[in-house]
Amino acid sequence: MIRDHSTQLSRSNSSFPAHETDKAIYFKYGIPGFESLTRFFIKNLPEYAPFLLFQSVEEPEVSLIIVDWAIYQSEKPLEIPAETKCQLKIQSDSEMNLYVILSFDSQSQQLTANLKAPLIINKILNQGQQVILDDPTLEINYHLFDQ
Amino acid sequence: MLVLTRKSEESIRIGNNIIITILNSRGPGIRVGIEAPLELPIYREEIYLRIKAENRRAATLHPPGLMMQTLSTNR
Repeated sequence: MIRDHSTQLSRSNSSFPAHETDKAIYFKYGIPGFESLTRFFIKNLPEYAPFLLFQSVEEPEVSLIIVDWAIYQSEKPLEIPAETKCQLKIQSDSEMNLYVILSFDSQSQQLTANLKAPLIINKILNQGQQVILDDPTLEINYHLFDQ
Repeated sequence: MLVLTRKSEESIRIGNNIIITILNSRGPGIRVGIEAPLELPIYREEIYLRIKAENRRAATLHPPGLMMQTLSTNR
C-alpha cells in the first residue's frame, strides 16, 4: 500500500526526473471545466517533490497539482486504452507520461487523486488529453495517503 | 433541444461523420450506438460533469493555499 510514503518522498528529490516543460503541452479540447484552455505548462515544485504544477498558459491562475503516476503505478495500476494512445499518436509507452490530478478532501484533511480521469501526455509531440477511463472501480477521490 | 422520434435500429446523422443509432432497449435503460471519428472524445454526461466539478475544485487549491499546507504536512 501507499502508507510508507515518507521514504518515497525523501528519495524523490534525487531520483525522480525533472518534468518541467519549456514548451507548452497542447490539449486540443482543454480539460473538463476548462474547455477553452488548450496550452499548459508542467512546472517542478522543488520544495514539494514529487508533486508538480500543471498550469494554464492562457490563464496562469488556473493551476492544478499533479503527480507522475509512474511513482504509484505498481501499487495502483492505471491502464490506458489503446484508442487513447492512438488518438495521441503514442506508439510506445516510453513516449507517454501519465499524471494524476490531486485534490484535497476537507473532511478527512487528506490528499486525494483523481484516478478516473488521468492526464495522458505524448512527450514527443507535446500533446495531451485528460482521459475519462471506463473502469467503474476507479475513484475520483482516491486517498493517496491512506492513514 | 431538437427532439426527433426514432424507432429501434433507426439512426440520426450529425454532420457527415457522426451516426447515433437507437438499439433495442433491454431492461430499464436505452442502448445507443455511436459511430464517430476516433479523435472525438465521447463521454457519459454525468461522469463528464463529475470530472468537470472535480477539476474546478482541484484548481482552487493552487499555491500558496491550502494545498501547499497539505503537501507540507503530508511529507
